[in-house]
Amino acid sequence: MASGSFRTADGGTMSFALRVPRSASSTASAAADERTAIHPGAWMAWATLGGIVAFTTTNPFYLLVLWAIAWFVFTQQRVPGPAARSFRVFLIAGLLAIVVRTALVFFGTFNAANVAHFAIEGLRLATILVIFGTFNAVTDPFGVVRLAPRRFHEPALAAALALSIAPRTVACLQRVREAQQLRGIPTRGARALPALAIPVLEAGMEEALVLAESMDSRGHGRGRRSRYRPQSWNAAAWTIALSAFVAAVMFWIASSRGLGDLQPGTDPLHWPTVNVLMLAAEALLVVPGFLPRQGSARR
Amino acid sequence: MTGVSRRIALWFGLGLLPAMCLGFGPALAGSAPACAAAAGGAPHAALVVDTGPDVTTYCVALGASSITGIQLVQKAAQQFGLSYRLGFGGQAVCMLNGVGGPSGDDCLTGQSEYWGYWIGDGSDGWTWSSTGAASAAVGDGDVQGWAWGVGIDGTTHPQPPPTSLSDVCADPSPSPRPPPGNGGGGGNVGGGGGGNASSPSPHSDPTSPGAGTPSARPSKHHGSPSPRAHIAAAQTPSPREGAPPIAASGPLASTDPGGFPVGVVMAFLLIATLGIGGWLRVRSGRPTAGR
Amino acid sequence: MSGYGDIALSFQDVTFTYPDGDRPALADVRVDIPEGGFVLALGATGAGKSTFLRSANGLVPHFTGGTFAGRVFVAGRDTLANPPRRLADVVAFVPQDAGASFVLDGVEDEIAYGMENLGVEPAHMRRRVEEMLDLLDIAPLRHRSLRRLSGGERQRVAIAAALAAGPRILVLDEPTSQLDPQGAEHVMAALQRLVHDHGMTVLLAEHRLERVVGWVDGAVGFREGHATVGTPREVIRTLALGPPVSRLGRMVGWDPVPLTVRDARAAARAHGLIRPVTTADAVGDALAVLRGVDVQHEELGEVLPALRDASFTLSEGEIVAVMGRNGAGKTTLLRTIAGVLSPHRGEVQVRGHTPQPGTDVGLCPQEPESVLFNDSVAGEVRATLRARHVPDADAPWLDLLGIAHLATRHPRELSAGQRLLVATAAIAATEAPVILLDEPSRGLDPDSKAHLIRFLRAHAVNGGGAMFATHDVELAAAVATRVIMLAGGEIIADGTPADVLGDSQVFAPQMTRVFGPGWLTPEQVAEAMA
Repeated sequence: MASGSFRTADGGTMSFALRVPRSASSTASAAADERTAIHPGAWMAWATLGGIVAFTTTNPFYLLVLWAIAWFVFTQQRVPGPAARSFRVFLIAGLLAIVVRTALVFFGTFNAANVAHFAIEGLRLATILVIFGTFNAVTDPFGVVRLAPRRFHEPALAAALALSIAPRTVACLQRVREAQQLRGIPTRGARALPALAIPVLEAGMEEALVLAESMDSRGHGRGRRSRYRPQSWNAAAWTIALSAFVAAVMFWIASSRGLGDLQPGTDPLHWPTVNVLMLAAEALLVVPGFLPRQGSARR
Repeated sequence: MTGVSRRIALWFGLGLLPAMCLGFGPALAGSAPACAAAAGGAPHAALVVDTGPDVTTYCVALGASSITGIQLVQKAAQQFGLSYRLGFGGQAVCMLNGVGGPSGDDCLTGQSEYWGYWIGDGSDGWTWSSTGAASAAVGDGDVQGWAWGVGIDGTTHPQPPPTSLSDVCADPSPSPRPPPGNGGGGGNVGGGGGGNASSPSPHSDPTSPGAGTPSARPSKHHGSPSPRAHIAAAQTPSPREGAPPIAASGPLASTDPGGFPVGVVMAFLLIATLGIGGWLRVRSGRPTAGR
Repeated sequence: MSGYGDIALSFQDVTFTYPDGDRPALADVRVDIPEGGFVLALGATGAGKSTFLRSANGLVPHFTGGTFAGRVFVAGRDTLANPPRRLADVVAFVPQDAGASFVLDGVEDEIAYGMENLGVEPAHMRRRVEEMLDLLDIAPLRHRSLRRLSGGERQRVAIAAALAAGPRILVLDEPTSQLDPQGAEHVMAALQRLVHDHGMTVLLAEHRLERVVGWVDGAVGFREGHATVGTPREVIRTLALGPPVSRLGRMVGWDPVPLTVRDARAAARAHGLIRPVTTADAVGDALAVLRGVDVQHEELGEVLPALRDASFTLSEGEIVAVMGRNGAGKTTLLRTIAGVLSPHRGEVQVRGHTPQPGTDVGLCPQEPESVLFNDSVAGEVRATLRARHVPDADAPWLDLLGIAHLATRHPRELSAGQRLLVATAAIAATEAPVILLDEPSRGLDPDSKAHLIRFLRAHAVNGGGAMFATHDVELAAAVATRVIMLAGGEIIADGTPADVLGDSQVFAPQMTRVFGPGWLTPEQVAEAMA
């Protein structure tokens, strides 16, 4: 029996030992975390410019390479913790986008060229989603919010909320589904929808209201603002932003001049080609994957 | 409730809207029932390019039930060698058939003339397009026109000559169409146009038809040209045309279709390497060092 | 009332009605809280406590709308003229649901957020964050993601985040509701240190009076919107509320009614009670059996052992309280029995087979809102019955849980405690032999708690088995026939409440503290004294 062992003499050293030792990080490792963490702005630049690359092309080869890049960067730089789950969420959303987009072909003329056209459109959207999934998993989207100048604070916050809403909703949905199963309520099929959707929506509304109240109570929107632990824009950040910039510029130019087979037609259906120079430019986006790994800032 | 949550909600909506449009807008447009084309069979649309002195028409095979106005231009380029340049990240048309400024973000600034975008109204006339060509949907049987000139809207900008789909697509014989106000722009007809008339495939991509230099960029596909496709009017460069046309050559040129697809193979190698590299990282456990 | 120099919070004839309210949530409330006061707001669910707290920093009426009459002055500033953000430098508010109030993702960042908004200088901010981490003993959590903290950890981070901005007034809504007894004591000690050493004014609401009443020096009691102000003793006497020692005092006619264990010990000296003989109740057949069960939480290669070598049997007629510190594995244990977590080792059987969620076992989750989706309380019970293809017979659960009068109300309109009872009724309608409740006493006032106890006893008497995870030792003492203590995912104690709780210094109920092991409830003691 553990009597007495819970009690500490001074009341100040109560140990929550069960979880603490795993996460206890010495000051030294905390400092290392700060050194290796990459500025969220650099990640934002990477994701935005990567999104532009995806936007300029409908060539499935270039798009698939972007998938591989997003996956690789995710595996190398993800910050451990629940954020990593958001990559999976965006990945699923991306696959869904392809399926939905391709399915829409049934409303039009059904032929191979059409299917390919819509599938590639879906693939492009999915690529952008996957890149943002990586962005979510390698940095805290709210970190970007705090970089925004005060004038743009609210739109930036809304954008960050929008980014985080998918993983949060999924987590909430899992919770509700389990709770309803344990109540014997069916959780599959269309008839299960209210039992799942209503608690999720109400929780979301409730959460948004509590969050707004909490932000206001804590002085959000007052004039002055300072930064805790401002992240430095270091060499790694420059490397990421510049390499992604070069890639995006190359694709932008090539697309506006119709070069590099960025937008191959689908009629007649044929295999598009890949330009080696453009491939090299695209590969610049994988640079963050080879930078020193970010410390485990969050668990 | 205070403004904070309301404003957040508003911005939230504003943020989601473009995302939705990006995702489903064109898709929904594509789901609209395609017009029964006069041409029948595979979907086709008529494209009219009016540089002022010259009017060129193209009967373009769409390859899909719905494409965008920009893609229509690109397909005309693939199929008939229409030369073009885009700006604003592929959203705007800068140059057609040698007329217009250089590509890039600023191709619409610094000059009062630009390419006006017109939609056929179904009775040979034209309507000023209310949307950009990158988001306009082109379906089977549609008629689209581009006219070079000055003017800010449908009342002030020059229109292409009245054109119906059958003018462009149904008539089996070549039909040179003298543009209005121009004593006849020449009659190079059929084939790839311009100096490419003798090239083996009309699908070759002459970027400077008037100059008669075959493109360094060969065709990307091997399909035979649509039997109904033909080109009317000569493709002489407009005298107003200032910027030299860009030849797609050098390192950005695509590989020879008959040759070894080096790029594709390298792309696959890259995908495989990154995929496996990432997988190994995941399998080796947590990314934290020193744990 | 001439100057506000010594009055931190001044409520001047405040009457407030919510936009859709049919009666005032606050009626003629006139309270002055002096600087350095440590004040408890108490009262039954829905009596006006939360509204009172939320009007202390302007959330009422700025975020609620409604009709507001009178004035609230916070350190001399009128809350009608100043929205919450303009009061953020003097008053901080910690809402009941600490987790939902987090703005950022990391513990340190969250603590610094309020200071950033106030434009505190970075160097000062760093020092201040360290102080807060120490004060609430959460330094080991500094680099953790908020989303992965346990409920108790979250609550302490939320308090640290509120304190960091350096307010002179701190307002907390049920700050210990998710904490184990030791954690609650620790938070209360930290608050008292702030009051004593730094002259902070603290105003808090709490249902579990035994946890707070010994610490505070003033109280505001609420009944249907009307406030009674006085010392804790006066207010508790007026409202006829109180921790178990007060209930005992009232039952046996002690005057003054004791408030704390210490008071009660003095009064009890005259009554020498010997340890009662406890006999284990006869139990029926085994319902749920765990044998050598290991459960791990796994996330992207990271393995966290959550349950280690757990073996036990739940039999018919048993009501088992599962206790242990925050993060000890209580919820994991319940979810394993329910069949939603599969063990990595060992086996779980309910009625001789792998448990079928919703058939063999019903579980009411920590957030009862997760299961509520109908537009009436009665509809929730009907939905469960329909899922089982059982006709809408007259269902006894609403009566049993004392919420029959709410049958036509929308669950969303109800208080947190009432919603929990509704969710419990919806789970009970599965008529699963094993009923599990995760933290059932959060936000429950004494009346609701009495109904919950009645329900659990009825379930056990009818041959079912029930388990509930709780931090509420008094609930465990009142209803459990058996207590399991978890630590680090292992079962470290399993026995009668008298043995397990009587043997613990942390988890001992008030009666045990006053009269020694074996004494659990005021009713039991009063009977022995009579």
